[in-house]
Amino acid sequence: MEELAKMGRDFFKLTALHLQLSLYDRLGLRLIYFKEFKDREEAASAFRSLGLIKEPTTKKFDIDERPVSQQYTLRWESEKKGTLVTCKAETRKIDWDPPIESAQVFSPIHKERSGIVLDIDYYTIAPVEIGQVDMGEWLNHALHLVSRDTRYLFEA
Amino acid sequence: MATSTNIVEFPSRGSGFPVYSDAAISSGQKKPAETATTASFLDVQDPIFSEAGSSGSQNLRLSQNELYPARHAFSPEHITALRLLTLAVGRSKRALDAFAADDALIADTEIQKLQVLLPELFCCRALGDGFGTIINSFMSAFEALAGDTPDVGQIRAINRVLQLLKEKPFLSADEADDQVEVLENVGLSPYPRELVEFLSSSD
Repeated sequence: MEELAKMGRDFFKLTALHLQLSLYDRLGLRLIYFKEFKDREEAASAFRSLGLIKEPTTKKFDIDERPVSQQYTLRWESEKKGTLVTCKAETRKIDWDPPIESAQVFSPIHKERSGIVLDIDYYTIAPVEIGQVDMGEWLNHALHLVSRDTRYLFEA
Repeated sequence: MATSTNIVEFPSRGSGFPVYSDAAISSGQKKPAETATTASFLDVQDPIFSEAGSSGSQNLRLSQNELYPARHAFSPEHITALRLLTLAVGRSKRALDAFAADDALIADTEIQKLQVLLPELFCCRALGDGFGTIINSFMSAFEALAGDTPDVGQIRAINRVLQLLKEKPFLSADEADDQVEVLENVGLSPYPRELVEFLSSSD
């Protein structure tokens, strides 16, 4: 993350200079974490243990199985800043077959990965003047806030 | 951009698979809403920025304390510069108040107190070329005054430039040049004496 802050500082400084920007409409930092589990059920069970949502425990919609692929989303928004936190159990499916002419070089990929995704988008709503922002500094503050305030998800 | 840094801890159940993280920084238009629930956000206030001066359209802009709300995340230069600039703005304002109360002695004392902050502010020039340019011009201006107290108009200009620098410490060299001109327009000499001497000798 330190590397990201360093790169961000230089990249945005040069971009603002060359594009002659005077104002940022929006600054945003989006962090996406993925914790992998064995299968969809295990991911759903791990999500359930976080205690973020209340699930019915009895048979519903004529289905005996408990819910899977749960999702929990919260948005905090003031006039000037906002944060969107999404936590969900997810199964990612990859189905890829190589073109016939390269079938001997590449093997087909058919994979399923289940896990919990934590997606945090921290952003500004009010415009920010270029002279107010050092992207490295802003990233450090944003990362600090995200790591400090996202912990509540795992305190149950 | 993607990294493999783990910030938040998951409970240690399930398999021992790694936690992946993708991070993206962006600037541009607001994204569409995807929310299901909303709640109020506890804004973190920092007493150090209590004097943030804003009016009119500036209210719609993010101030420094809103943009940088985490005390622990500041770089030493940034927090030092903001602390000293807050002091400097306060002292220049008190000097103006003293002039208004016809107390030149207090005004002079406040200006002297402001002046001693400048060397430490100059040590924070890693914040940017613009920051260094303005602090340097203040130092040159005070040096050129040779101990005289600046007049009301000059202190007002100093106050304005300090306030701007406090809100925009990362301003560009071009923006800083505009502020140096503001100081020059009120009769201060914001350029190093050696430079002025060199330029006048080459005429």
